Amino acid sequence: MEPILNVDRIEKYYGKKANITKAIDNISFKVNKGEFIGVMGASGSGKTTLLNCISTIDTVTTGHIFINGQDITDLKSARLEKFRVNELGFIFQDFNLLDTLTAYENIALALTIKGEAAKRIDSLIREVAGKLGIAEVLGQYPYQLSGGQKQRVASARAIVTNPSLILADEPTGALDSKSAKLLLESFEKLNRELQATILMVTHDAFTASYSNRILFMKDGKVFNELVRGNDSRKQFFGRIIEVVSLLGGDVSDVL
Amino acid sequence: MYFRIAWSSVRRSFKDYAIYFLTLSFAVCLFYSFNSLEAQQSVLQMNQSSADYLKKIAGVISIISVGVSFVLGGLIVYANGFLIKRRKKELGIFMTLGMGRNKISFILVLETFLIGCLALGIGLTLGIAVSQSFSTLIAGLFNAKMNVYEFVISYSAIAKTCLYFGLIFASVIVFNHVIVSKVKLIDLLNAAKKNEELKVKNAWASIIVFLISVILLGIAYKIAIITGLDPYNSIFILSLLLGIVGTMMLFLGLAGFFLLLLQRNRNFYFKNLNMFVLRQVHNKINTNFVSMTVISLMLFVTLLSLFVVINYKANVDKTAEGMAPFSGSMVTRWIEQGKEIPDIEEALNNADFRFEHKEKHEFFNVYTLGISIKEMMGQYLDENDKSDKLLLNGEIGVVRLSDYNRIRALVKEDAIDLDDQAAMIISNYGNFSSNFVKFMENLENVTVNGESLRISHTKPVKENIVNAPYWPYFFYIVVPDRVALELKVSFSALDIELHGGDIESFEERYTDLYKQFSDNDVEIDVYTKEKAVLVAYGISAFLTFLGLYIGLVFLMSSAVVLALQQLVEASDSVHRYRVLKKIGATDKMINQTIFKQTFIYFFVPFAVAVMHTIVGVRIMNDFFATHNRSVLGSSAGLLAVVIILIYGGYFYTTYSSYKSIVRNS
Repeated sequence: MEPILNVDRIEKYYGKKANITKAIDNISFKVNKGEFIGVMGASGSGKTTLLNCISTIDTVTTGHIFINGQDITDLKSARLEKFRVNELGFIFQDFNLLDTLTAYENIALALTIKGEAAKRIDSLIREVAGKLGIAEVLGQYPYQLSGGQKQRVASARAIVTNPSLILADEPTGALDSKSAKLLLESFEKLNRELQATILMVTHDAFTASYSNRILFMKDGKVFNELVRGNDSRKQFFGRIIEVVSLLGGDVSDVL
Repeated sequence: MYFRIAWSSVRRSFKDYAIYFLTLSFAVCLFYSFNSLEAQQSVLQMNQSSADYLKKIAGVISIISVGVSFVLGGLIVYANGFLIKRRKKELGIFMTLGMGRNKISFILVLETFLIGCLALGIGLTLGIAVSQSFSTLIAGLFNAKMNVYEFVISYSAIAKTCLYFGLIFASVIVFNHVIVSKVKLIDLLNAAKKNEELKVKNAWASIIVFLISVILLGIAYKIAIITGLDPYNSIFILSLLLGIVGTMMLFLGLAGFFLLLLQRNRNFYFKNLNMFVLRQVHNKINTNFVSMTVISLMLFVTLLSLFVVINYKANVDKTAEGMAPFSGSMVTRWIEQGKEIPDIEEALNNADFRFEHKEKHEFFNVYTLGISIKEMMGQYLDENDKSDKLLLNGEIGVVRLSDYNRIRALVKEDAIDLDDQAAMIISNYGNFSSNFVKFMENLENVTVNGESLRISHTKPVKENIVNAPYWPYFFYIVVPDRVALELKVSFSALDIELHGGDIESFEERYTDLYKQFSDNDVEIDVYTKEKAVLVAYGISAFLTFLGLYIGLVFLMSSAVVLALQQLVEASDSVHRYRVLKKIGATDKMINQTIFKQTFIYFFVPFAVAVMHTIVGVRIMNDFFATHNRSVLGSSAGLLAVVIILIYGGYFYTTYSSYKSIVRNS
């Protein structure tokens, strides 16, 4: 089966010859359809740069990124914009909902930007809102919603266009633990029921434990990879913590 | 201590205050200059009619000033609100340091007071300076001589300016106090994050408000059209108030009404970023409905004054043709009862003046009917006409038919045939008063020297019998010679027509003659065509200047306010555009969004102003009785182009800066 996302030996450099920083240093991995993959790492590990490159916000220095078989590293800007709208969905840490629009309209906006026919919009929104449990709050403005509700509205906006890949950047970063749990459960549900492919960047072990597979990054490289397999979430969480403690402070660092 | 805080913050935030401060000073300067107009008369040697004219203009300006002060007041309160908004965080810090609301409010009062005093001082100084050149200007336009140069300060205008601006600053202080006493500390500190709250939240309420506003405006239009322009009529004033309230309610309800209307049209609403545009505009118009009202009314005053002035100028230009039909005229001045009227021929001989052979001339007398136009027209006059005292109170002049035909022959016009029982009216007053037109239509007979004469032409001849320099309106009756035999002479006159000579030397000779008459106290005026036309054009030029000045300043200041609001909006909305970009909106979509939003924001108040102007022009047309003229003449077309260029220029600049603010974020 063709992978949804195929990252092929990408590198990203910042700075000039004398003083080069390798934000991403030769990373390769694949994500198949229906996978829920987490990317973990400390600040400065390159996880945000990786996400920016995949989301076409930033460009790679060398290497290729294939999404749905399409090489996005050689797309021109006009086609790139179209590609973003059609193939990618975004969920941000700070929700990024428009305060002037209702929840319903915020979700609709993703569809109108895509150029969806007006008559299909309502049914698409109702469907996704039902799945994320926000059907009752569709008429409300963001300031009337709780943080968790806002993030679920943002998630609805990301998946309503039926993208090939959903990119989530620290989605639980601004939520309390209860809201975070609810959100992650809806991610799991989307992943299971709709076969949505999700790539989630986080530094929080609890959040990461909801995914099927985790890439650990350090200094621009993939340092480790964990697959959940048949573990319970609790067991998986325990394994994550082990890796994190290894990542966070090596004995060699102390020396 | 508080004084020092206030003073230092005035100085520190001078960058923020600069526009505010300049606007204030400029407003004060303008206000004073125009209100001191009547005082300028003291340094001018002008004849009674010009002085009356100036007085009339000053009266109109003082009425306009009330409206202007509301406009300026609104602007200043708005600009102040804008500044306070930007300083909320600073006020919040004062509060966290334990300063009470009253003390903060006191600091703001001090600041407003300081700025107000400075602006008043500078504005008045500027205004007094500017108004000195006004007198020179008026002298030039009215062809009046300046008396010994005198520094004119109009204390009544200063008092008026201080009173009006004092009230404006007082309302700013009240406004600031309300803001400070209402806010919570958390709001002050988070001011940057907080959205402006919506005034009308219920969509149905805005529909009702919108409908009420339409009804109010309809009533206001109807009343104003029925009463006509009549500042002394309280019903007319009521219609103005209704218009203002109606406009305000229109802006309060408009956005909500259209939002609801367009939301029903799903194909429109769910297309591209339309819903975002609508929501943005809806919020902005809703929160700014007061300033939108002020801007719209300001644009209305601008458009109306510009079009009326142009229209009026066209009229004066038109009457100027008939006003001075001869190359030159001499007229004896008004003489007290019982005194001798000077003999023009004798005066010319005394001055050793000889006509050149190309100068055809005719001497004649104008007799007095013994009654004034006012008495003759009686019930046809209304309040507005009664203010034209000079023409209406003067006794009606009678001209003998043979004299009239002789002066017609001078300018090679055919002789008029009047039968023995008929009379003819010569007047252009119909250009000014619609009541006169009605009066003439119904006039059948006129009694001269006890004899009733039939009126031969229902439409008066609009060509004057002498060159009339100052007052552009005249009224004479031409009668068969025998009827006027026993009448008293009102004044003697001489008309001269140059048949193919050098106009320049003609002007020079007669100007010298006039000077000689003046020096020797001969009570005869000499008016050459050039001089008469110059004066007539001067009056209209003066009005044009006035209208253009006020109009363009208003146009620019409303455009500036709109621009300012949009740029504030731009920096407030940067995060929204960032979100749009993140969820995939293209640059083209975003630029279109900005364009639509700015366009609607500039277009709506303009459209409302145009709507008001259409009604206003109709009322003004009635007032000046110029039904026969279309305001959409060539100069009106040019004016429209200029207005659109200025306004459009501001719109485009705002659009570009908005784009760059969003792009650079």
